Amino acid sequence: METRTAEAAADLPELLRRFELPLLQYATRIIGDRERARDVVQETFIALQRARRGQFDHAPAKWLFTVCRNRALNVCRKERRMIYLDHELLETRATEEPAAFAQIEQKEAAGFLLRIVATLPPRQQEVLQLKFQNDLSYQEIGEITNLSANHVGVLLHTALKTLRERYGQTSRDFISFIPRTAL
Amino acid sequence: MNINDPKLTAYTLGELSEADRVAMERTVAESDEATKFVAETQELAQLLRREFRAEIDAAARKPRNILPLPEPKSFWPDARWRSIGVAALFAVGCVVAAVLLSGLWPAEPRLSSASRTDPGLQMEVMEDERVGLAPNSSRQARPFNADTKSGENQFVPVSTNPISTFAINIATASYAEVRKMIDSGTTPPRDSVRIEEMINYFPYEYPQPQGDAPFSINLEAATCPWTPHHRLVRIGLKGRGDRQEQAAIAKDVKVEVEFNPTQVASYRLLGYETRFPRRNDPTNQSPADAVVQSGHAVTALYEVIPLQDGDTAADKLQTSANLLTVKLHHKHPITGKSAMTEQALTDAGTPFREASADFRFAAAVAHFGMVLRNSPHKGDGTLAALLEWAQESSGPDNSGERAGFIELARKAQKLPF
Repeated sequence: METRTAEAAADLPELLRRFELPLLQYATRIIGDRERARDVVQETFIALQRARRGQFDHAPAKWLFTVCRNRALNVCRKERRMIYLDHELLETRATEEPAAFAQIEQKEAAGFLLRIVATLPPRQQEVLQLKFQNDLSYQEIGEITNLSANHVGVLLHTALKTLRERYGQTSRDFISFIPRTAL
Repeated sequence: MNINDPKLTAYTLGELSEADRVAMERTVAESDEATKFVAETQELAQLLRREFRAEIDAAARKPRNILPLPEPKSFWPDARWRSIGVAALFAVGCVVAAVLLSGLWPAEPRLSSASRTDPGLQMEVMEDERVGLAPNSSRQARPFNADTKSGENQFVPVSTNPISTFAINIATASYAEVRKMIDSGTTPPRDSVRIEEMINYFPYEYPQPQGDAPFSINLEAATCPWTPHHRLVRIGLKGRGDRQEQAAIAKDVKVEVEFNPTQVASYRLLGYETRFPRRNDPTNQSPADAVVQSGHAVTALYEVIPLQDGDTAADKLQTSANLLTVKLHHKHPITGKSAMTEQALTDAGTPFREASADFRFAAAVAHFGMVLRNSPHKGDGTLAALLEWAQESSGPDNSGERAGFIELARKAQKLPF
């Protein structure tokens, strides 16, 4: 028992260094509140500290993201936060017209695409983040989010499609912000 | 080759098995459209990786409070003591659980044994989980301008603090929690009764914004039914679009309610006590990156004490008959361009019974919370009174929730207060 705890403790600074910020960004996206997210990430590492090494041996990333996600969703559930919902409206998304955007004052290269990401449904944002910020596979993402790898693939495919459309559109000047629903 | 096939994206991202990959490679090579799709997707993926990486780098530059975790070995220097310590901790945990479950423990931040060795470490949520507490007893932020005894916001004089604010994205869990407790015959503890959450549990009819504005600001004032020489103000913010879409319509949203010092002596925000640790400073708000989604609505109630003739006011110029002005600052979700939507409220002296049904219902819900909390500000109101207000304003009530509230208030009459 003693040696195992010591081993886990030895890895901890390294895992902290590698995953603290990615987990913080991930939790913040789910909860929508950086402070709450900090607490969640802290709890996640404390759980890691107490976990036996065998539990996360070959896949610390997957373990950390899963634990972090569960705690973050718990916060959302307890507080009925509206930002993260559980169902995915994949079907309706596909048939809607993409929104037009206001005239762009300055299209900065950095961060611009992420701002468009922020307009996507929460679930799509989540898989995009797990894939492109954390380089996790469809399978790993599926295990973290409780979805099949196929479903993850569909979400990513849809998200990229929407991103492509909106990113392309913003490079053509649109003057008015047309609401998505007719008033 | 159908470019709407998710398998194509999977191929581009290297997710296919070797056999599938080889097959797909051949298929793609035969189609110009597919080849173009793959190239574009790769480019987009690269861009995403770059921006997501930049996001991490930017976060690395921000100060963050994740403190170094305590060294496990500093707790218990000896294996023997460790096992005794674990047993003792477990025993303490059981006692704490028993005390907490019996409702005797005051609701305030709890520090676990770990944090005693490292005082900077916030571990109260860990403690909650270990003893399996009710959901509403998690972290308590310092209350905003609250009277420590009642835990409620007090009346704020306009002369010293003319501007107030409240959070736009809030939870609505409190109503269901309170209902569960009352249904089981328990008087809800004060801290589980969060008035702003209860008010916002119910939907209200707000019109969609006109023109370019992403929000409509809806203001109404009438006599405060529980203290008739006070006014009650309802502020309803409604975001453009359909809630189902979950599309972001604005970010960095901040609301400022500016009271007119020539009309108002003091005001009191109902609820929202734990949202802001600091006083009326709109620049110091909860999540600065507050993103608002389409169709989002939030309602806040203020109890207002109007300036009476004979009150000392430095210069009662009567320059404007506005009671207050609401300013909503927001940024475009993508371009980040700042904008502000503004609306002023003139108080026509409307009596409570002539206010809109939504106004009267919201007042009933708020007052229900105040009665449950035994608020020092509950004035003349009683459960019987608010039942009447609710019954007269339940409207079409398609969801049946308002009828549910009326039933709940009736049940609450049987509780000891």
